[in-house]
Amino acid sequence: MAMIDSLRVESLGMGYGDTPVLEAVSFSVRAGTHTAILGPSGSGKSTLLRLLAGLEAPTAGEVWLNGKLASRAGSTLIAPHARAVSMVFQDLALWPNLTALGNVELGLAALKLDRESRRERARDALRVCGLEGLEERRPAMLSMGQQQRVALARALAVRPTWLLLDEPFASLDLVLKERLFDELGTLSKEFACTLILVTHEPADARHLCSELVVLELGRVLEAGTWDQVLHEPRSQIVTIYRRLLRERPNA
Amino acid sequence: MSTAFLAALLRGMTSAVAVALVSFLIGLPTGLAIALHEFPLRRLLAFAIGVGLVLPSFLMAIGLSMLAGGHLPGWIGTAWSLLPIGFALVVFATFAATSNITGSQIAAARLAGGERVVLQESARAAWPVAALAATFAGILALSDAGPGLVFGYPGAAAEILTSFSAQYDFRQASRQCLVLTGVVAALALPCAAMLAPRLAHGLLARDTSSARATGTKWKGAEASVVLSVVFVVLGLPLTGLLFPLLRDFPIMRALADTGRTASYTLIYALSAGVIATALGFALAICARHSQRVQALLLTGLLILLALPPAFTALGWVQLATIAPEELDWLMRGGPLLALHSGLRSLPVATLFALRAVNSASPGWYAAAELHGVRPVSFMRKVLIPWAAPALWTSAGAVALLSLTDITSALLLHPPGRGTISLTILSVMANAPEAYVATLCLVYLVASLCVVALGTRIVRPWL
Repeated sequence: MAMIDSLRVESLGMGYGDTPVLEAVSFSVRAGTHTAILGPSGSGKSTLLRLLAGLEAPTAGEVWLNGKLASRAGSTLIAPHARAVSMVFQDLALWPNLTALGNVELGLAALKLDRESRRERARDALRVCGLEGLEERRPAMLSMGQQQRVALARALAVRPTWLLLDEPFASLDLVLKERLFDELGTLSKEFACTLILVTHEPADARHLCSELVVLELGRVLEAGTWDQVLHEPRSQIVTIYRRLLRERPNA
Repeated sequence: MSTAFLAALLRGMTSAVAVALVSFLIGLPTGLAIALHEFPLRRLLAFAIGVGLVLPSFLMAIGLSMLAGGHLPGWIGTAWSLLPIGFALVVFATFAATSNITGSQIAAARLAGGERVVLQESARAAWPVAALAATFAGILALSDAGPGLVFGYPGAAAEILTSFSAQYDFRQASRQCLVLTGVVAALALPCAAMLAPRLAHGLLARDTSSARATGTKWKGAEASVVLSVVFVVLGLPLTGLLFPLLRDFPIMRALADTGRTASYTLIYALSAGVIATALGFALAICARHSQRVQALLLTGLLILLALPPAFTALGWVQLATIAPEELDWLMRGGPLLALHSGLRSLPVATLFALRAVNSASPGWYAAAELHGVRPVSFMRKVLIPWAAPALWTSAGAVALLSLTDITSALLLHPPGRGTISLTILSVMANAPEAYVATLCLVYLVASLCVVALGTRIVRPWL
């Protein structure tokens, strides 16, 4: 059975004032895959993710989700919470005065579940993410790794079709990062969601994703599977990434 | 305009210039010391300076006049009584501007040339904000009627009160008020326009690590100098209140009289606190997206804060004369005083609210939007609990500030329902000194309790 394009971006543009952040960005992501959006700092990766989530409207181009037009220039046609998109933010964005359970429960607000079902689902998500027994702790009372898991539990609890990760593991040590990547791979399969990871670390992208989109200065330089992109680099940045991956494959 | 009023305006200007100059000269080094160095009693002294912001200037004036008798020239007594507010504004403006310099920037300066370079560079960064704060303090002094009345050196604000309350000449009071408002607005507009963007940029959303030097060799001397300055500015006037008490201490009579006005005082003050805090929070939420909108909002609010209280109070009095009978409960009753005081203190409440709202991560809003959390739920469950310490402190600060404004209370209070400040003001000319001093002491202790409680609430949040 041929894979369908789950997410499609066409000629997407975005800018703040006179400063362009993204220009004519086009790529597609197939359902069930893990795709990395890789690029140096300031290349527009996080902005692209916010456009996919519907948190901002593009200044040009279109975003298609499962064949439906979700955003077009100047307007968001499908509201963020109606897109079946979840996101783990760079700073995790955990609400500080709510417990771990409260964070996940409030994250289910859009699903119109009754109180009991909502609580049950939140507990399930926390259990799956290895946080059983820590439900009543607030973010400040959790370690960084546990906070990452709460953010992940909040994102997974809504059973999203697309899970967007905005460099959520940038501040973690290598061991914890590796462990979380492994768990993330398993969980995304268990929850059957398409995963899009934004990162500037080629090793992270290689570890978790089978496909990648390389972004620099707001433009897509290359896109495809790792083999396709690394085999014959057409840009300087991909050449650097290839060298880094050879020299420090686990960095 | 009469020559008497022009002379009063000139007297007010003299006090205002003195307040601005002295506040800047002593406030800038004090603010730098508190921001950059750890020394004994540092926190306590910072707290004492903060108390100066919420104590009425007429209380200082009464204390000073009791201390110095008739030996103090009027302009010095008036300026000295107004100094605690100006001094505190400059110290905290300097502190905020200096805190805006990152820990690593200070460490780099320290490595380059020791404390001398740190102080030099910090002073260079902080002095424009400190100068603006001092100018603003001078402008606020122009609108304050209290100390001038106590020292027989009435400025324009005091003349307006006399025209309205003693001569019952509303037209003359209105004309004088318009002139004073024009002067104040002309001075406040450029000052607010320059100060507001700095506030919006620096004070409201800073995220820097502290790099306070803990082991400077002059920390003992530094503590002594700051302590002396705080004592001269704040301690001496308050000490003056104690002298008459050595002869007599009519505490029971003072408590009984305070008790009679306590309920009205509390109702006015707390209502003003709630009104200002609620409106300030709403404004902060609306302005949170854009620093430019925040700067514009702050400019407007700073001008509002600088306007003479008599200007808006007389406006309400005029409105009350044409308002329909059904609105008498509002326009001729206590609620009007609470509303007026709340609106006047809106700038203070908005600053607290903006600080709290800006310190919330933008990711919290984005996560709420992504998960379809309704705005009401988000406010109730996330934003209000997060901002609660700031909102409580704001309500307390506004409540205390509203009591310091005797002009509004005098012009708008319903007959027989005065506040404790009005009681002090009305008895200070004729009652025995010991009784006036005891009343002031009761007020002072109550204010300190509120400030201490507010500090306790807000500490975990800072």
